[in-house]
Amino acid sequence: MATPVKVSPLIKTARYALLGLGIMYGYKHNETLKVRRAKERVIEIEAKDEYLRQKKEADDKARIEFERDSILFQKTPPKE
Amino acid sequence: MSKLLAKIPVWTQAGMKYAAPRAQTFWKYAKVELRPPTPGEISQAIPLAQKGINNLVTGKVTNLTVKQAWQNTLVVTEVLMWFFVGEIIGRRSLIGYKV
Repeated sequence: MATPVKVSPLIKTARYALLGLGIMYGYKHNETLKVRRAKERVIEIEAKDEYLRQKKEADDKARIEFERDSILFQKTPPKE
Repeated sequence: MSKLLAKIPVWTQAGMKYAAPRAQTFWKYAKVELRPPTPGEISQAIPLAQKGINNLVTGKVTNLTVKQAWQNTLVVTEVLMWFFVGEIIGRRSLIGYKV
């Protein structure tokens, strides 16, 4: 096959310099993202718990209403 | 099952026989083309870069043929892609940041 090409030194230095810069950037960005996601995760878990709590409240209220008015749950018919 | 296990060394042998000459040709080219720059070459690179910027600023770039300009564009793109390969290595994940 063809003889190996002699690559210009500018291209070689640029390649490996960019490789090193990329590794450093990838590591740094990863670290910043970890911090940011930890904060976001706290807020997300809070929001989820809040939503579940409100849902449970609404469900309980509806259930109590239903049991109060429904004929299935009365021992004596309600005084209308 | 034992026959399958007995086949494994045969497979590895065949695999090595297939890969060896190809690995040799790859190494033959990689030794010259992918070698990192020696400090002497790094010192050569700076005046080359200055010459390139000079060409860009004074407008001698317009004297290139379209074919040469296209080839230069491809080379620059390949060099820039090494940055993203480095980013993949630095964040230790192939597709995205694993946070």
